Amino acid sequence: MSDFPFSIPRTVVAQSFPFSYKQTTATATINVKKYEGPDEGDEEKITQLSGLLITPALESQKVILQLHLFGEWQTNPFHGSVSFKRIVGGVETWLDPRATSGNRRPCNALFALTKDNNDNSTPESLNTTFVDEPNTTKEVTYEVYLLHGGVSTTAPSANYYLNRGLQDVNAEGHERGTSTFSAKCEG
Amino acid sequence: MSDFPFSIPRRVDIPTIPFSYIQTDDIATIAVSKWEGPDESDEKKIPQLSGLLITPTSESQKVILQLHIFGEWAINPYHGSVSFKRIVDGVETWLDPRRTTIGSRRPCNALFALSNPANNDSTPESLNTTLVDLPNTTKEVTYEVYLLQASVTSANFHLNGTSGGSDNTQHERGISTFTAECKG
Repeated sequence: MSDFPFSIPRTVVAQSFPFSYKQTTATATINVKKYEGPDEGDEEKITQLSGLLITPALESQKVILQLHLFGEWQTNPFHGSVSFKRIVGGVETWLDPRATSGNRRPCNALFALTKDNNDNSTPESLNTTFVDEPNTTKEVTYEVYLLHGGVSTTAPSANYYLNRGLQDVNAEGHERGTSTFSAKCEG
Repeated sequence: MSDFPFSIPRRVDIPTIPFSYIQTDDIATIAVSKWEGPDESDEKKIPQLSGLLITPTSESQKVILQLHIFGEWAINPYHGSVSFKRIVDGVETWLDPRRTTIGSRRPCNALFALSNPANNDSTPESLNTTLVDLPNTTKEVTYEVYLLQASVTSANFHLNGTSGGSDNTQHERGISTFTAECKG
């Protein structure tokens, strides 16, 4: 419908909901120390998926994080887990339940096995959803960290092989994959 | 591109898409009776994740449900599963395939992924799933999450923790999340 006295052409700029992601097929070997407690700094950042930036349009907006991780633990994948960290204005906040976990290992998510008792050619996958409330319109950074409960009570560390299996032989029995970390604002 | 002599920039705000979620790190032990059939009421609600409310803005909108559960079954996690229920105006509808012809089989929306099949004390399972629901309404919709198991007379599920629950780094603590988002 025309406005009075004539129609003025308009440039329409749609305001979309903020969305951001990191996706990688890069392969990497990440050495993760045995988790000894929340003050020990044993969490190991997955640099290929960290540094995800998003700026909410409103303070009330939620940020929905979704993570798919493809890779293989060198040993005891049931001791492996992932935790998220939020950074706003230099202030770092863990998004796992470590504030109420006591000495237990805090997790945002665990790995799902594809085969028990094989730690050289059967990658695990991890999928999770998390809703964050950063309560800000400043730029927010999200990071992904690996934790491991240890090879044994005395073992110092375990390797995680991102987007590949441990052996990574150039044959069809060895997989290569993609990992994805996304953030979108809602509400 | 403008066609006469000037153009007035105009911002168009996209209407907010209905979104709702429940997220909890509460620790709970939920006893689940053995599932004996669709009329036996053996499904056990997870109260910490149920009661998710959303109101579609048009009847044609779909509701995308996403669920992440962290926890451990005390026995046979491969016999554990989850089913969704929708409630509109008091009318309850299971969203698993029991509405179809599945006989005496156990209806499921999703299963748990194992982390260690040989351990039911300190290695939690995780469950991740997506379901698209078509409620065909603009009334408020409630979604609930139920546990089912078909292993033993009663099995415990330990939400957001391990069965053993010991206070050391070999026992995990986690977070569970249930979201609903309208699309279309």
